[in-house]
Amino acid sequence: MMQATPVPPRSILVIVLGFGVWAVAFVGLYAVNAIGCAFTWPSTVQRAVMIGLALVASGSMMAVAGWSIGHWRRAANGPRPAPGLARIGAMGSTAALAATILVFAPSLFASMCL
Amino acid sequence: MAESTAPDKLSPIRLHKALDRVWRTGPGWQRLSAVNHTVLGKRFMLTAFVFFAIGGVLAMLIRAQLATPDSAFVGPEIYNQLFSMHGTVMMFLFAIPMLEGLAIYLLPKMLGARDLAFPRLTAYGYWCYLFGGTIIVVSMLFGAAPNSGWFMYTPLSSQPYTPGINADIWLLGVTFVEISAVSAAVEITVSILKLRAPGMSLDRMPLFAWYMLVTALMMVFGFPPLILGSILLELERAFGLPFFDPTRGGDSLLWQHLFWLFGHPEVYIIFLPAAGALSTIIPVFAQRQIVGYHAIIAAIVALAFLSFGLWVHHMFTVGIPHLALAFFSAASALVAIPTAVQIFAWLATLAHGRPRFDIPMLYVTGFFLVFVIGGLTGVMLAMVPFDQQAHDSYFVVAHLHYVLVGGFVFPMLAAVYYWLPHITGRATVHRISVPAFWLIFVGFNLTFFMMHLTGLMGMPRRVYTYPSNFGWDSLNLLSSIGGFILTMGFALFAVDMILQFRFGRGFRRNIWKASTLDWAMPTRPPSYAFASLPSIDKRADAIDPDSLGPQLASGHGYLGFVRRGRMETLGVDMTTGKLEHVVVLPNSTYLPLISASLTGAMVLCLLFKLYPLAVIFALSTLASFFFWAARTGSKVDEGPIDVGCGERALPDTEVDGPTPWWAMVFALAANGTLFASLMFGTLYLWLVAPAWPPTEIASVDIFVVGAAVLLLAAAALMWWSNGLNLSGKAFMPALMATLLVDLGALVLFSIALFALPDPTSHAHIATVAALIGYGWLHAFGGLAFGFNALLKAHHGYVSPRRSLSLRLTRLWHDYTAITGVLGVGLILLMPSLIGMLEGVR
Repeated sequence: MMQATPVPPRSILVIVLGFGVWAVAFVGLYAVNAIGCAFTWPSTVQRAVMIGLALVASGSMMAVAGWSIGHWRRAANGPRPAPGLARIGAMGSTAALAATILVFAPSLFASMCL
Repeated sequence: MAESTAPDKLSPIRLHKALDRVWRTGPGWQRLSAVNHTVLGKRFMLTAFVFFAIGGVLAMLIRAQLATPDSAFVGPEIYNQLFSMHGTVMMFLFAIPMLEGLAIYLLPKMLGARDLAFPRLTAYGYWCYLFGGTIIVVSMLFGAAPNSGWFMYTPLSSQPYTPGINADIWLLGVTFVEISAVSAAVEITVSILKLRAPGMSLDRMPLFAWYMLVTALMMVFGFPPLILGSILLELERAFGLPFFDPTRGGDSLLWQHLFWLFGHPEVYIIFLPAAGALSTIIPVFAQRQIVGYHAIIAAIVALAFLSFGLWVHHMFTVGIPHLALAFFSAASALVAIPTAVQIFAWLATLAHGRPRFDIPMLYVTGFFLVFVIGGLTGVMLAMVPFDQQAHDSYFVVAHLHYVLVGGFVFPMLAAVYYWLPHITGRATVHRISVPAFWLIFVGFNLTFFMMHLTGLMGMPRRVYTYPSNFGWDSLNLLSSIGGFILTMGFALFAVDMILQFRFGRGFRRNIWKASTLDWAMPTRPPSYAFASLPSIDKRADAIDPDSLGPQLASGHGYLGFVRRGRMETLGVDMTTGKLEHVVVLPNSTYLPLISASLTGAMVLCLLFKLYPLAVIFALSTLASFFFWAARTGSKVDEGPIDVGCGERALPDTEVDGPTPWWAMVFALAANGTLFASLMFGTLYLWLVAPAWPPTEIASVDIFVVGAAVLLLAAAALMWWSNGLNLSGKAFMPALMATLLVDLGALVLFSIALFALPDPTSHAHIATVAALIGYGWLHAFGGLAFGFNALLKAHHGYVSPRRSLSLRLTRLWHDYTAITGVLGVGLILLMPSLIGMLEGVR
């Protein structure tokens, strides 16, 4: 009888991990920008908050990308189920890191509100 | 214990006859009971092409009106209906159902399964689509068609400015069709993840399945915001709840957010399946495997996420904080990169292969040229300063047609020519498909390239006529001539299809020398798809159908037999593709047609404001679903059963993660997105809408807190019931207690609703009413699930090993408790949040 090795479905999540974090950061920064503008925060305060959040997002993404690349290497060197998923995850997380830096970079210089 | 060994082996002909007896759809009226994916996939596609033809005729009328300045061909009112219906029909009644139809037809065949996971849901989705589409299209005959544009912006679509039923037809009809789309998305997701040939791990799946998996998940998360928006707008139009009325605390921009949260991912939802078809077709004609398999999957995942971060680029001119504009602008430009990854992978596949030319490749070439132009103008429009100049001009009309026709219609035409031999069993006859292509290609570019120019010259979209002194005359005339050439091309295409169905020449197997599983079967495909199911030990786009097909047809695979007249296919571990369980599918039934008819009757009653009758039909629809549930499951514990090839597996009813459980997970994910959109809408109005703070605060704390506590208690009781069953103890008293607690929550939510101040007075009260209504509906749903579990248990369908009914009920109660607590939490928080507005507004 062919035994199904129990592989938790969460192992699939490695392919969406990077952009999942990006999406959370995107919603967070957009929401904080909207709140800051609605409550007329001083622009220096708002910029400091936005830059801080962008740095947190970028740092988190670096950690995620680093972990994903490590996970891919481990998967490539050992008998793991569906090793291609780890490779896709590493590519996705690296792309998500680039997206994080590019999309949130305007926090450094763009005007905040209307 | 039931029979667990496989029946004796049959000869290929006897096996075919035995399988066909079980799987086929009967003749005559029995066709209405079809649940087979091959039948329903074809119906979806054929119906979509009929709606495409209707949308095309509307486009011709638009171009006839705009061919000359100051034209009196149709008046402004009819013109408004024409362009609104053209967009609505093409987006909701052609593009999405067409991609669903292709996926429904192809996926089981590509994945090595005999059908999709929920055949009755496929049929229900089809009937909902047909009825909803018919309601929308028939409204034109009565001059009552939607007339506020395909994205129905408020306040134009609100009651004071569109007082008839035109907008209601859009809101209710499209929501009806969306039900079909979301049900198809859940079904496609679960089918791809669970119903594959043993051995087909995720990283061996054909790219088309990857594209469809990502697309279906995008539909699961992308459509609920629009469904919520449509419900809120209909509540405003029918009962005066002012979600979008800025004079009473609403905001018309909330509609734009909810619409484009759906609307922009929708573009990629349409493009990705077409790209999946391209990723299947191009390697076949390049005669080599696709280049960059893993990079393409990473690119489509990136595309899916990025597409949800672009919606505001449709709103660059409405007044959004500048920094947010920069975020959305950057994300909009960035989305070109994963798209380009795919395009370069296809080009590299062609460059490194030995390309041969045939009709599908003609349309693939057309795709490359048209879509790249559309993509480049998209990057132009992603830049805020350019967008502010070109916004709402014909430049945008040109861009969206280059993207959608280039990114969907051309690939779909390639797909039709590629898979038509599979569907009909007849080979392509090339006589008129070549001139048809050139007419379509030339006609399309003549029509829409001119619109870039008229747009840049300042012509706004949606004007029913224009004076002759702006220099737009000749360009518009050329556009109209191009439109009619394009129509001639599609007419020739239609003739070509009919000729191929009627006079195409027969062929034996695998006409294109493809290397995917869909060609490892007889063509036309038999009702059961595969006489036996394959085992996959390498990438599923690198198999040899010519040798595998005959082996499977002679029963040398899994399930090469019929057991007790059951329709069986295999379920696998979703990551590794290892054999996990046997799925027993339901036979043909009229239930989906009955349920969809009752749903349609409910929609019509809502449309004509016959609300008591609508409630009766809603309850009837629910009752019909009980009949669905009554016919599923097993009354005995079967244990592992023989699946052929010397292996055994448990039936679906006895495993931890059966397909219905996963369907519930994804359905709740869609539901959760709708709830999150409602929370977003509540907070958005508080933060942004004018006419805040409200003069009156909703204070129904005691009732909603009580209801939330009861929802938590019901979830705990359900958890306990499930545990009792798993340990073989009596669980019925705990289950009945759950029902009583659900009833209590329902009563408290009802009292809270009645205790609210007038919800038409201000959007704050209206949003609180919507949150309470959401909780009420879910408590009612908990009652329905609990009642169903009670019935199933009473009739012997529940045992410690067969606990699906209880686990589904538990899942629903867990979800209801979580959203109930969050919703009530937000209601309790609102007075404090409103207090923060004092001094700011």
